Amino acid sequence: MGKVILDMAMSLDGFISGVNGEDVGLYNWYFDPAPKSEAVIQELLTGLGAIIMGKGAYNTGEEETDSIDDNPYKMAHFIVTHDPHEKIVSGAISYTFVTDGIESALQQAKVAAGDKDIAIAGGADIAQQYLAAGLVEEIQLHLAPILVGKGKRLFDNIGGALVELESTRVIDSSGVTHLKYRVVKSDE
Amino acid sequence: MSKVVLDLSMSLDGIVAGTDISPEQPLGKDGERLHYWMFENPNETNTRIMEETATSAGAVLVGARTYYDAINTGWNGVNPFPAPAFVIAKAGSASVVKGFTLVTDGIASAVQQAKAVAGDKNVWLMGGARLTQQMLQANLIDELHIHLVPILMGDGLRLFGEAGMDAIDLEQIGLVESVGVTHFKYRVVK
Repeated sequence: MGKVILDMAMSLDGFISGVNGEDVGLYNWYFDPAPKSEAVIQELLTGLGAIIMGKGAYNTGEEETDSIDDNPYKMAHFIVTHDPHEKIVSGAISYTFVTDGIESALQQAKVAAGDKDIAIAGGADIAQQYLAAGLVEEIQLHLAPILVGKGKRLFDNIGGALVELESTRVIDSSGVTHLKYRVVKSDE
Repeated sequence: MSKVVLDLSMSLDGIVAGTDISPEQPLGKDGERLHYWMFENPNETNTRIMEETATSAGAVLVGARTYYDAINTGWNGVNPFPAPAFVIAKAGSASVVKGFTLVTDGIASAVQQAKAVAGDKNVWLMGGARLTQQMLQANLIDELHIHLVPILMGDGLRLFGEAGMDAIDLEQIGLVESVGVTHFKYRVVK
């Protein structure tokens, strides 16, 4: 079965966007990828079977693209939200709006993903909920060489208990370092 | 010329000391976990990196809170650093132990004095978080050497704080993978 991966770009000071969700240079590596980053992106495109995100992240994505077909992730997406919305489908891309919580979204994502991995792609709020619930198995951070100063911090509100990680991969690319960690379960 | 280098260990969630810092627990709750890579059977790479930090420093800078709250009594009256250390504190602060110099006329003065002592070697800023933030804001740090520890501490003292500084660009100039830690070096782009 696939793994649940928290996958986000992050500044050295821990921010995943500006105060209002702005890019603040954290995605330069993605939109203009160096060869090693291209390989990381390809791995996500082919290795993921479903994506979970919050409504804010969905809205940002929607604002920045002209059409649903511009989304390179041809797979099921599950948006965790309070506001019901009809499912949107175009070819292999779908957006299902899940109003009954993060566990429901994950259940549905697992069914859709089959053997492939599931990415939690943002925003900070959704990521924190999955982390706090102990539902994240791997963390992949695209670490950008910048101190943003202010914005949405990824690792706020995750609870006070120490969580051990194991570094499983470090890819030194141009303008970004791709870090992968396995979340060590507390009973290991 | 001498560079001012921030060199410390940080959790993946940006924390450099746990909650409840005290002289008995200078790194706070679970804080020693941040230094396992140094003190719990360090491998060759980690030993080399530690030695590099020590031998490249000609002077050390430490903030008042770090010195007085956490370390004053913990150091047993002896400077544990490999070089003369400067404590930046307000006028009227309590005296400091041998090997330390108290600087009460500001950060710029402390940096100047530290550089004079350091000669060709670096000035090692070992913390704390508040002094680091002030020095970043004042554009006084040349490099960041961050030993990134694969843990989420959840709560504690954040290196990069809540202050809401202006954005600062960095250039990664070093990356060493090791066991239990990933060593990053960044140049502050000025």
